[in-house]
Amino acid sequence: MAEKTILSLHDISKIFPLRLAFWQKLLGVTPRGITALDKVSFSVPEGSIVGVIGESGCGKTTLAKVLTRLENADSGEVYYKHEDRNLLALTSSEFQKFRRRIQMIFQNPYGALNPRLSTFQTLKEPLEIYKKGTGIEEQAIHILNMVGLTADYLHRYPHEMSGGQRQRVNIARALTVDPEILIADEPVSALDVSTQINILNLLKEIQQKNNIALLLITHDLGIAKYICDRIIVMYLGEVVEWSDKDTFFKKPLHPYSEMLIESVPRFEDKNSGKAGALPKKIKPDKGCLFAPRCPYVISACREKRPPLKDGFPKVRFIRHL
Amino acid sequence: MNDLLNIEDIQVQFHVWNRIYQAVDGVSFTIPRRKSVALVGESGCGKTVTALSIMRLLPRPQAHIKQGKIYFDNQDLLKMSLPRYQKYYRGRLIGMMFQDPHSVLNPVISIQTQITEHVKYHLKMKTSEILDKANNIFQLVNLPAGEDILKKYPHQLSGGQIQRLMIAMTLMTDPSLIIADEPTTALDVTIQRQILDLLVALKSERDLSYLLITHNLAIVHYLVDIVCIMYAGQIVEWGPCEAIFQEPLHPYTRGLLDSVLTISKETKTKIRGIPGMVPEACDFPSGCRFHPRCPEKMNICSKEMPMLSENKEHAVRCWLYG
Repeated sequence: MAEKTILSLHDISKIFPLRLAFWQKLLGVTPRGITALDKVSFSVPEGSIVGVIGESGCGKTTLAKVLTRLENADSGEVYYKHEDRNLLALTSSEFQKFRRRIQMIFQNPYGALNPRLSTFQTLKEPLEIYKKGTGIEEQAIHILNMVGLTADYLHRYPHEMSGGQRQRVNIARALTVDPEILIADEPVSALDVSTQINILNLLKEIQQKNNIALLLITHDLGIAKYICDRIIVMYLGEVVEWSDKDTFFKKPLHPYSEMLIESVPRFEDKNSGKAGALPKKIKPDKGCLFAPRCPYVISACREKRPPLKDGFPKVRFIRHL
Repeated sequence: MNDLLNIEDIQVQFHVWNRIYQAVDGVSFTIPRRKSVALVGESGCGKTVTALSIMRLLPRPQAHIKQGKIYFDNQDLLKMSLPRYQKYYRGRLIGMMFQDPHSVLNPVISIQTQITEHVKYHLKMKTSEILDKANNIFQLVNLPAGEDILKKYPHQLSGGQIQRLMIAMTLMTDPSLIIADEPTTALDVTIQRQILDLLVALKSERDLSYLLITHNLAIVHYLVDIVCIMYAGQIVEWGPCEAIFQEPLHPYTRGLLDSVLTISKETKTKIRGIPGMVPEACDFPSGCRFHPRCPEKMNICSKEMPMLSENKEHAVRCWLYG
């Protein structure tokens, strides 16, 4: 692709093994596992917003954790810009160098801040580590202004702030070290609708001003449509569609994407999107993972797992009506 | 009066650390029979407190209802003795669905026991009758009938299943009003849609009324006939659902509608949303409580509080229309 990529992921897999009971070990039962990520590959272009969408349990959050090395992947490679070193294979001290480039914003603004640290103390720590030098307080105020808070908030504790303000402090903390890619895991799902818009606008503004790439994990298609440039749809740990926003919302290719779009409530039309009952999620042993819920299923679907098509937009299916 | 629920000028105060928080300030609305009403607003606007005062579940001793009356079927709920209220109203004629069903059910008691215990408290029924009825209702809410679910424990069910179970449990006592506090917020989009469709189907089938509490306007029109928009403890606009969506009057309502991100909305332009934040309930601004955030503020707005207009169809509390 002609555009510069900032992060490219190749075949990342992660299986959480289930622990066996003692007697099962004795009997030599082979341990089963929950496949959280199954050969996930995509790339994040520089300075763009990529949305990862899917139902809960599809591996979105595991993906974020793997990218920030909070969780170790079983296999796969992640490359940052033109560095030819696999980020996932680095030792943790080698990875330190990249930590400041990749920052994360967490879902729950209440849980992500230390209740015993004031905003200044929260921001001070990364500033001291990465930006040795004077004027830490001025720098902290500058960052607070960037996220729309005034210097008054410098000495407040998390419990003295509302949810939206805490999320702003979270964003400020991520910005202290001048990251080049932000990974936001459901950054607004714990907030009110009116606050959601403000935070999303802020993220977009920061992304454009500092030319940061943003990987936004969300289950809300409305949010994805509002701010993302690219959309990646995940289902049971694998990428089923990878498309740009306009194509995705105009003409989704994968039947699962179609269902997701149809099931979103919208208030213009009461009868819109009667998706009907989406059947229960079942993971088949072989064939396409989506086959048990797919309305267009054909016999070939149950036999072979379809590959992710080459070209763009990419999609994973055998035949589509 | 032939309305199912009639709330008149209710005021709820919280006394915490010698400060008085006016959580609900003069809210009145009615739910006509077989109609549903939604209370919509940001967190901290008093919508849940209003619902809790109907359920008489306000935390004591901090909260007390300073004034106001709540009539359900012409019975004054607040004057009634608590045992009578518990037996015949709360959980019987007035069902409640909470936001997070996992924290409502007891994790160490099987679902069968929890259902029978609940029903036996309110109705004279034998266990076998209760189980028969439960199976019927399970079919209605698309849960697998039989012992499948009954013998299980809450953690063995998925989010969608447990929300269906909550609906089933509420229906066991044949209520005529269901108070649903953010019934779909904790669910996935696909499941959310199924639960909404289910609630709509039940409404006509069982002559139910809902009092829906939510901050998301996108789900409101599926379920509801009348919408009350709340801000800072007051109702700022109420009217039939279509009117609120097609010609919202109050600037706050317009801001809320603007903030809802739907996939059919054109996204080329930046959505402004509502700037600022909800004021603290102990420190409301003078005049109209929305004026610090209002894009159409006038001089009078910071001086005098507007009254809810007398319109019987679509009332608004704003000087733009006063």
